[in-house]
Amino acid sequence: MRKLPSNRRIVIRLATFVLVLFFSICINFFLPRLLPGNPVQAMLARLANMGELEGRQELVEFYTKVFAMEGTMLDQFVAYIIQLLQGNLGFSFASFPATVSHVISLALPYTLFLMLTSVIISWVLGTVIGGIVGWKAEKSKWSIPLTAGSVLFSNMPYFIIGLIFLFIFAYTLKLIPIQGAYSPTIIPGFNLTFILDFLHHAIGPISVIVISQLSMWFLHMRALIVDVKHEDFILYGEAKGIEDRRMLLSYAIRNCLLPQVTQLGMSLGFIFSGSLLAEVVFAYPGMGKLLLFSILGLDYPVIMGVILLVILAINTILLLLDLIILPIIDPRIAEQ
Amino acid sequence: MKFDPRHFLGRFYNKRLIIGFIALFSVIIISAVGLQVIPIDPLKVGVFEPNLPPNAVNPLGTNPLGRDMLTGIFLSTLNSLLIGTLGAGTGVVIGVLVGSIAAFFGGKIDTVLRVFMDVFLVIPMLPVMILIGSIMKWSVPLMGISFVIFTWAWTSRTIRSQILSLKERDFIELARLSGMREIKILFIEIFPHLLPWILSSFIYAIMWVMINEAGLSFLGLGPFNNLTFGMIIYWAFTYGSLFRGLWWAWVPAIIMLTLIFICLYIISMGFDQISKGS
Repeated sequence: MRKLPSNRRIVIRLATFVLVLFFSICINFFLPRLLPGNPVQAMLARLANMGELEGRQELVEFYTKVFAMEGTMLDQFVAYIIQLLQGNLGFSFASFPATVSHVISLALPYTLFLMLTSVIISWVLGTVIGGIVGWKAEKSKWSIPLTAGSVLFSNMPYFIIGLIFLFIFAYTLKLIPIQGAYSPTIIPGFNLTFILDFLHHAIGPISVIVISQLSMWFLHMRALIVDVKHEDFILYGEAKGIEDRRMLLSYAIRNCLLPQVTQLGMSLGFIFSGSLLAEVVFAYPGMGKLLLFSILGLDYPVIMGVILLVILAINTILLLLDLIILPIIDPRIAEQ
Repeated sequence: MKFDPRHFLGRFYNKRLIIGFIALFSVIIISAVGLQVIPIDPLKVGVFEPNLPPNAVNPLGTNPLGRDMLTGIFLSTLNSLLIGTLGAGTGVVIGVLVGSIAAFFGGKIDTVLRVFMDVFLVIPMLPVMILIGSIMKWSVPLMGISFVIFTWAWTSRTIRSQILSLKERDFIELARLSGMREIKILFIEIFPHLLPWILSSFIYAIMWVMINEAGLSFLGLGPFNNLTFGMIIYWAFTYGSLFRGLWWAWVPAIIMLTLIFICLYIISMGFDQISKGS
């Protein structure tokens, strides 16, 4: 009987996951159909404003097949899902012979690089600094300025921090490059010049995401530590005469890790949206810039492909976090 | 009789709240009055020379489209706040409704509603709004209301857990023992208790919607026939004002947006204080 509630939790969690996917697929399927007329014709009509399209006939045929225009709405929906299950996201309008998957695969590594680096840096730094400042509280002279600054930065949209950063460091001081992932004169390859150039270009977007993220994690952790400080086990540890530094690191911070990790999972969508905009500011060739160009070029298949992929990725991570990682950090969760 | 704000405001007498509201309303009133008094249409393109630095006629210069910046900022203030209030307001109303239904009925209804809330909580907002925005061409009010798709879930999720924990408290038990009906308890005992908390999450939701509105507009998916802070920054960024030293095309918008955020943050801190104190 003890395992039963745990199974129930997993079932509900999986149901949520499936529903999220279903909902996003529905959005992708029905939104184009809200446009007047046939979605393929409506999309092509908009594209026609931009000039004649090569391979237009193939596009029409292919999309009629992908969206399965013939038959009832249900038939069309089933056909669409079958195409999706085969990993077929269709052709890009803007760069026609290329498929959506190909276009995305070119942009994805850059975004992954930015996200991973900045999330790890900001989460670790924010947790540690927030922990120390929360622990020392009014004894630390950094407490008030750090908190005030964090409140300001964590409430500002990423791209606004990005614009300010770009203006100060790229335009005025000329310390970092204005745009791109590497200089156009350097041939990409695995050598020192390229790697240094690549890192130099990444400083801008990464710092912007880190500044914004760091202040969020700092505030969150500080609030958590202030709460934990009054718990009984801290008092007991102090009475036992455990060193202050050890109390903080292995008792106080350890107990705050769980909500901090949960928060990381919950904020992934927000972080991702923010990095998309930071990429646009720095013209970094990741998913954000891909989205921007797709919006400008009315490249609906790419917009939809990117968004479907993003929702799928974020939800898979959340599912893994909920079912595997959190129970490892706190075994009580699996028992509930 | 002397006017006493303490008596008038009751438990909503809070320094942060009053300061925040006074600051926010002065911003709104200055913008509204400024728009009426200055006889310039901020939406008309090409009225002035583009990219004029601040001068006597245009105190904040003009943008790359030849629009006056000062009136543009006034209009954006009103529009951005309208979008925020519409998105957050409808979201909070629906959220409170759904959250209290879930907490009130419990059982299967609760489970189903909770799964729905979770679904909307884990779908990232900006990407889906990008998708909707790229297909629809929206006006300011329509854009505001569209945000309800996401704002309701957070409120209803937290309202539900708040009501569930309040239900166990002594004063609710007392009301129940005295023969009060459940629905009456919800409206007379629980809602007034949660009011400051609901208002605080309303303010947070406004900030959230405004951030996302600015992001969407910055990507070129905003209300094109109108002005918001996001749209101002979009025009400035698209025409490269950033790299031409034309600071007046974007810096005032950022300062004003930050100012409004600070006002909203102070107000939400005030509501937080009240809800923790009661």
